[in-house]
Amino acid sequence: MKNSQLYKGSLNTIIMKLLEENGKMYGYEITQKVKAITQGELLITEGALYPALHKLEAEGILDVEIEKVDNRLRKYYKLTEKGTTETVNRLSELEDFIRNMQTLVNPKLEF
Amino acid sequence: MKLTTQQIEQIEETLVLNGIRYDDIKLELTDHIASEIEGKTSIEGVSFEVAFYEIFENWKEELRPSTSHWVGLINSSPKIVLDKWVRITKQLQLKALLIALVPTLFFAYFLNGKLNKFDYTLSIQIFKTVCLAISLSIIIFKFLIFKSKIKTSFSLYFNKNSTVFFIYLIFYGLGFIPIKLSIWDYETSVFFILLLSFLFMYSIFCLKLAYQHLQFVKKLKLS
Repeated sequence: MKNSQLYKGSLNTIIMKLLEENGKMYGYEITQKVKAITQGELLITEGALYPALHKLEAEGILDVEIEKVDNRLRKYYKLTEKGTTETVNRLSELEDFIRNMQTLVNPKLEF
Repeated sequence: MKLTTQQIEQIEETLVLNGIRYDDIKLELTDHIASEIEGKTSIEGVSFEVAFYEIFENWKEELRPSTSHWVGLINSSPKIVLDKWVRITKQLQLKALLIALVPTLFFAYFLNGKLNKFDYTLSIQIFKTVCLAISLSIIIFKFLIFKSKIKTSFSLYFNKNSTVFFIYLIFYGLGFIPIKLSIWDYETSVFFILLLSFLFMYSIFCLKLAYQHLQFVKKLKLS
């Protein structure tokens, strides 16, 4: 992942946000969607994606569906009820974080 | 370009050769790699063989045999399998320890000095019964996993984690190892309450892994 240290902490929220918008997605689809949205600026590696997906699944935030697509099986991830609530909270936290960072990086001091 | 059944099988076989023998991870990686190859052959116009080689090169790090002292150094597995295993083991151990502290502290601060000899004897019997009940549950789940004829990362983690605990539980339950709860020895009693509570909680969490395996098998059969 590009600038991995900066993006690492937000990966789970990025995945949850994508699933909130798209309903259900599979691993490769998530990497391609992120690449397309950020115009190739952010590349999620498989080494970062699957641990994050498995952790969210273990926490009960994601549920799994298996479907036969073409000539192979595909594992889709979708948000659980708990995951939907958690997405709202985490997005709000992320927005606060971005706002604070913008204030710190570009301070408008008033005296 | 959509891949043929033979090409999908080639991906699966290569994953198995690299230690990905667990269906939950294998089907996910097969689909991911197949999708990557399809993308590469369509966009760059390269052959299946070239795309296959290049993409497996990118996956080399995730498929590298790895070990960790958290799960025992003899348990070498591909990094992607081991990382999940280590994370689950750490989480289960921490959760089991934290929950085990509750009855231990309750005994140490509220019950100490208030129990008589009969209470201690009764507690030992209760502990033995719980040990046997959990041991029996482990045997049932091991049988169900064996019957399912499918290997998943959950069945791997369950089998590896529960075996040692099963031996301790059955030995305590049948009385081969004494449960040293005594009105005369406070420190040993506290230690045994902590130990047994930890064993119970850890084994119950392991049973959840077995349940997750069975859930996956059910989903696989429905697909």
